[in-house]
Amino acid sequence: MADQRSSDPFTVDPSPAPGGVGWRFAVLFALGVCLSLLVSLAGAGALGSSSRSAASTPTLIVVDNAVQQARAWRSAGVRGAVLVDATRDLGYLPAAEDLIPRRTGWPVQSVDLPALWIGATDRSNAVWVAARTGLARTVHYVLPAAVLKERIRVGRAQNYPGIAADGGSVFANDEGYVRYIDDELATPVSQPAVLNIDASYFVQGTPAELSAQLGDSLRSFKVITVDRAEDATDVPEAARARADEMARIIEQALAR
Amino acid sequence: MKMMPTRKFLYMLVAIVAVGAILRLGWIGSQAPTGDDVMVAVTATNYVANGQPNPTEPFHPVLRNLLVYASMMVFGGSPLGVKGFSLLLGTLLVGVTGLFVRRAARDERAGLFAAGLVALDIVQIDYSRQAIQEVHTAFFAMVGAWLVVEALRAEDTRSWRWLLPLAGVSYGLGVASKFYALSTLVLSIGLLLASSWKRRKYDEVLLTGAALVPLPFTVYLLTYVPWFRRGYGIAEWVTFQRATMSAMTTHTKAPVAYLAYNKAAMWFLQPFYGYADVATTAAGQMQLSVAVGNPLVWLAVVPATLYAVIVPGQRRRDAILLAYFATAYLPLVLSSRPIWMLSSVAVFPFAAGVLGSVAAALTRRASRRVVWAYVAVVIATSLLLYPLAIGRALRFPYLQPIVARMGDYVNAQGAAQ
Repeated sequence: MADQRSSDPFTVDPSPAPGGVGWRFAVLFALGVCLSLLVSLAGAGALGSSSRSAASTPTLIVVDNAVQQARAWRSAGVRGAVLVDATRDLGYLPAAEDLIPRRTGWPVQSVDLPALWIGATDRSNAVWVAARTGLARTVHYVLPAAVLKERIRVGRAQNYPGIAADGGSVFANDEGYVRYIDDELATPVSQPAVLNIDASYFVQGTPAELSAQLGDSLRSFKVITVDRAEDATDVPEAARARADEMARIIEQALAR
Repeated sequence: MKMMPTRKFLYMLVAIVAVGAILRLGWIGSQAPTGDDVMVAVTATNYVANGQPNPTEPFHPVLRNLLVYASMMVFGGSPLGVKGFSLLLGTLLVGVTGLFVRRAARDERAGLFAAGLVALDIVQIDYSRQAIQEVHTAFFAMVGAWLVVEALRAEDTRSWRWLLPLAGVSYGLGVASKFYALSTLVLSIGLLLASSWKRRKYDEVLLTGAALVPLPFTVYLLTYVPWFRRGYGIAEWVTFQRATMSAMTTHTKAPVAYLAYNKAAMWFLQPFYGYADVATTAAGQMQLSVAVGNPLVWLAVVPATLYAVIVPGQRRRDAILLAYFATAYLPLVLSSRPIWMLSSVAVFPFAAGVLGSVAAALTRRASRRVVWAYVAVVIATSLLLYPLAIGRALRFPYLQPIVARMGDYVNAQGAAQ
């Protein structure tokens, strides 16, 4: 069965007849493929844009805890948004995987994971749930400068890979879910954008500092929640009072 | 050698594929789903419905989620629903390996030997019976390689008009299954460009470039449509790709028990280098699968490769087989992250190509009786090892030494029952 003809093993065997592929076909094919790629890229981008939603006019909602906060986002129709979270606490502890029912044997059952995660929402995982349920597509944290500095110090000691060379920000990569951790809103956020201000921010930060950070971008947020962090025992009443003050500042800014 | 195989080759290849199908489907209904099987099904639904490629392996490409979702639409949460594409592609991989090796070595017997080795291989059978995408990657990469070799061996390069686009689509699906299909894609591009350039056929250069770069990329991109429905744009997709690659290249597990078998360089050197999967039946019975190569085959890969490299006539005949094997294998050997046995699924068919070609060549020499005796022993030992691949490793005392090598993990699972 073997064919023992010898020839260069890396070339067409045997020498091909003249003609072959032909320039006309090659050019048309190349153009067609490139066009398909461009259309796919444009289509994917357009699909992404059309899949985002949030309230049409800026809305301020003051909530007491993370569960109310998540409910407020969903009620406002937030989907595929950039979440800017001014906070001390990252709220990104993954909900326990053992929440997923593990049946043995066949048939394997599908699980409505978003419903499962929403049901498990608490202060420790509210942002994680927002990412895993499609509510937030990207997260930008704004931390008080001292909090960021301390987190980076600890992160460096643990060789955390996403710390910027200048030690001024962190690119957090949770298996492809990306978050930007900074002490300022370094880049303009694309729409729709949701702003959450957590009372824990004001344990070390002040409303004046945060107002200065947000500046004119405040009006670009479709939904703004101020979470009084009643579910956090380590957030003092003074910080909640500052959160209330921040809510009044925002209200006035939006009314202008 | 003509493009069309002989009738004798086809009949024999179909028979080998049928054996492969039987081994892959045997007792499939009574093999309980592993944790991965369950979570792959959950992930498939979550990806298609919500664009979320989690909880299982969110850092790998996403085609598996689409395939598993599609088969579950037809067969529900049954073994065929969850593992349907693995069973199908794992079976077809047997035939495609035969076709690839036949053309690469210009020897139909070599193709049949290689197909037989893949059909009988315990690791191939094991992962063809699991929902994870190892065998998907192997199949699509092998189809791409086969079509490219068909093009290189074509009597008229007019056939490149359909061979290369199909290869491009297949490679796109391969890379959309796991990134390591990229290595053989790069080799295929190099071989085709070298061939065209040498003959100054620049129209073929253009076709090669278009069919094997933007076309696979487009296929890969389209598998992310559910992900884009979460609101992302192209720039964010690029960031996501970089982040997933970073997560993938740093992925690790504590090297305890069988997880310490994490060096690709040892696959063909150390007997019973393996990976274990535990499942529990509805009645609470533990089932253990152990993916280990038949040492009579896996330990023969290095000598066969050396023979193919050293003996001039064999080297010339097996040049393409050696190139594909090296390209598929060496990146994993050189990888700094742990590489477990499951990644060998996409490498072994190329190794089987080299081994099959050397065996076929030896059958034409004085050693033919030895070769046929070797084939008989390989068949017999593969059947003896078969319970390892179908979750029956604990049922047969003679397999206990292999089970024991999997170590504390299995004991811990057993204690938890």
